[in-house]
Amino acid sequence: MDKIKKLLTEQRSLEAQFNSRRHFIKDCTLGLGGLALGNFLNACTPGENNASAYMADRSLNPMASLPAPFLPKVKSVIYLHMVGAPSQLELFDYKPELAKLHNQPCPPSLLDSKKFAFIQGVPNMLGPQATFKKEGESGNWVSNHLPHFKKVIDEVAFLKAVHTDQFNHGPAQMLMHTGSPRNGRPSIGSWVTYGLGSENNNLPGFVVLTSRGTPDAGKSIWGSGFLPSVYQGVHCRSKGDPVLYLNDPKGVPRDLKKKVLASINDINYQEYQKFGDPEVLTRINQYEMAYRMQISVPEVMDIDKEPDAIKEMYGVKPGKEAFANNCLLARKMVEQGVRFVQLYDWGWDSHGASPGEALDSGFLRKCKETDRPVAALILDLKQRGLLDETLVVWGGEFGRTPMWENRLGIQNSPGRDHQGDAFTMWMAGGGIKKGAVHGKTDEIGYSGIEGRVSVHDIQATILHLLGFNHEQFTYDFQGRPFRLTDIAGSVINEILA
Amino acid sequence: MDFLFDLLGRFHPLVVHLPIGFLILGWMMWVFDRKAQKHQKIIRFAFFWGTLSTLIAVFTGTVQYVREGYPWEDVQGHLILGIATFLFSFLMYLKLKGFAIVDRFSQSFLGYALLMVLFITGHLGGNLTHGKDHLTAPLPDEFKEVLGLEVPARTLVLLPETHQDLPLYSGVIQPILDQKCVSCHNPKKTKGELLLHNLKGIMSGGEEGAIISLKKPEQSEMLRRIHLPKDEKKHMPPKAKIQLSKAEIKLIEKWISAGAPENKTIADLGFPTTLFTSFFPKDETGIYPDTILRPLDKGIIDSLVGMGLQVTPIFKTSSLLKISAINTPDFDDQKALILLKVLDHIVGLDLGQTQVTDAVFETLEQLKHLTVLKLNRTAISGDGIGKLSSLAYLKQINLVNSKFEGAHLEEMYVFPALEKVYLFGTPTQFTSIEIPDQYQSIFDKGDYKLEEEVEKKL
Repeated sequence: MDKIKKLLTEQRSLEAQFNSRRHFIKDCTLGLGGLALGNFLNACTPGENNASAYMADRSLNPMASLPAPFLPKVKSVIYLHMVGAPSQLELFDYKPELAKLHNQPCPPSLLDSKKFAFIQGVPNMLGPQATFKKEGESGNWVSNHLPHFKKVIDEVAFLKAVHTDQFNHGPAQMLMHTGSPRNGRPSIGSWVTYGLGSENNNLPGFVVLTSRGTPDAGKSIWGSGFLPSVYQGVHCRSKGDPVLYLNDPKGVPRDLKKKVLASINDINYQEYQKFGDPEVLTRINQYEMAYRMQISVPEVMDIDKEPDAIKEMYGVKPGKEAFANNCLLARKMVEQGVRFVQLYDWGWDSHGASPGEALDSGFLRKCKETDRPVAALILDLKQRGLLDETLVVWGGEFGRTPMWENRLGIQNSPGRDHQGDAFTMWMAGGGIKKGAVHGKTDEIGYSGIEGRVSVHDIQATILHLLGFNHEQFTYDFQGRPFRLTDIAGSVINEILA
Repeated sequence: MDFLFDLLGRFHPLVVHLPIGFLILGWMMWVFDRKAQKHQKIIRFAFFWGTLSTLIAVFTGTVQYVREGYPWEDVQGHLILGIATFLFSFLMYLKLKGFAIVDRFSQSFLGYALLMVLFITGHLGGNLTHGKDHLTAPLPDEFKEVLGLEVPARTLVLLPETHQDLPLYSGVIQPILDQKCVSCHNPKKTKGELLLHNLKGIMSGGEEGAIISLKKPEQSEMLRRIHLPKDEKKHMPPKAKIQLSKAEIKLIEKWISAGAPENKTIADLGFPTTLFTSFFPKDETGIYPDTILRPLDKGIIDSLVGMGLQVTPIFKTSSLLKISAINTPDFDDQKALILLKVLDHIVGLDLGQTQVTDAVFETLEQLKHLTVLKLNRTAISGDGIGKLSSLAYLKQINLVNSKFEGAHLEEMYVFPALEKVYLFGTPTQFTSIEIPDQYQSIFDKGDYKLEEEVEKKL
């Protein structure tokens, strides 16, 4: 019996030791955590802007700014995506030969082994529905639909033979923004904020602005995929509340909200200490960010205070959701250190099936809506010394056919079907060779014959300008490293200065 | 039923490990027991199974060699020594059994020879599956040189100043070939009977004839092979090897088109510099000074960060810093003194939207590597900006929406490296100042306008 007693006492004291050790660690870490927490809750104080060591520490602030692996040419990106795929043949890719073939039946050789979204039977060719002129010192072509663009044409480098293997909007947009036509990958803005963080502690690093509707691929094209969700794009609205549910509910004063947040974050932080799940940090960070954004976002999102000359230059429509407003906002955000501003302008799907999507009506309205703001954005960035450190990318998700769409065998208004074999994109800003043209399409603008570049090439180039080697910039997920460009892509040196 | 043979052959990698284990164990017991001679039975047992499994290994290995098309020159050593392993272990077994036929060999000769042959066979087999350089690849280059192994060629670097004086062939083309072709086309290893280690070899061609056609340069076999799709068997360099870069291909093409000259320099041939830019040393610091500074103590950086400044190297491994006060709107002239703690390291400084005034120039003039200075939306009027004339690298000053006055413009004329000053939204009136022609392009007042009437035309 004595022996058993002895054993039991030993067991108990061992247990007690274990308990006290556990206790010690628990309390101690929470104590340390509390210290750090105190620091970062300070950042909550409105107006004071108490950025501290906490803000610069990645393990506590997933948005902390990080240096790029290589010397970057730009620190921000403004990506102008024309949702629906604008026709390259009416904007930048001048094809006089196509005009000669106007309304002649399409030779079967062009239709063999091709997949189309809508074309049925044998369509007629459709000549360019625009007149073209060489503009600027570079003498690059631009159509009469973009009268303001000529003013900035010398800042731009054209990619005339971009190709994609997707011919439907959703997958093509996914490929363009996440590197894969299927769901689940992080968007380019998420990759960039993951890699570089955000400069401004009071604004999100990756902002999304939409006009005239949401892209077909849905919000997943600014999602964070397998990256921690703190890196997903923050969708700001240019009409009404900039960010939904950002304002305090009625009857909740700001200092009460601060106390509530502090308590919630305290609990969340204990959770993080226990399990180390980065999603908990994401949550804390988002509460924090939302609190700070209550002050800073309305300020940045307020375009009314801009001088009249600027508002006129962009052609803004105060109080409305408009691409022009978004362009001005994009400039303001980049000025305030936002890393990646993604603009989506919906309505470029010019099939010709109805006037709204016909090349002689709806398309012209889209050109008019965007021409002035785009030119204004580049000029405004330039006069503020921001164009050298910002990359502006313009493009759709694919191009359009040189023939009529011929849906159900009928030619209504002039319109073109989807096609991914050749379309035009352009880039402007830091590190870009001004006035360069890379790539050439055949006589009717159907396929690239020189300098073809893929969607992954474009992503590789954007990452290169931000200081990444796209082949080394990876994230481990499901047992293997993933990259934005998957297993493809090479930097388009031809358009780099 | 042929597949059974294939399947059998595939068991070779499994089976080979048995004789290695059995024979080494047997050998160890044999050495251990050579004095006492107490365990002969179990030692014979080990050598019996060692011999038998060697036989199976040799058999499956031969089947695999015959059925799966391994080239004889790769397999020969492994196969022959494998058979030798079998013979030695069989003789060893007989010896241990006490058969008289093996009297001419001593037991120790058989034992040690067996071990050696076994090791070499195993090593050669490993080379077959893991590659010849499997063991040596991790060695440092100096070791490899001592051992006489192939050292990966260093990449070709040309200098912008001197590259034009180099002979195109010996200065550029041959180094490219040395890096990417010569490992298979040299006097020791001559694939396709082609030598590419010197001009004579290049000109004499390989087993299919000349590789360079001076009459129709673009149809040269060499270029045809280079341009074949990567997956084609005849594409060179082979898919698994390091490929030629676009710039290298272009230069080889140009060299052949020019008649594959031996001694002409790049200047003689009149090739533009753009062909060679990708071989120039990389400009890692871009617009920033090309200096390497001692990295700063973390404590110093932390003290700046603690003030709310954003402090980041211009790229990950650089010691040069970019500092931004974007998160500290209350940063002022007094607080700016902290910048002096890192005064040599600052190349980019953004004090925009802070409380700094003209007094800050006294601090800024000490930041000798400062290259880009941003003072947007500050109360800076420019009084004392002339102090910055001592900054040898200062290239860009952003004064957008500041209170900068035109009167101070001329103080900047003497800045040694100044390239751009952004003055949009300042009270500066360009009309009232005459800027000398040579400085016109430096100062940008912005105020760009888009035409109004275009809209009406639509």
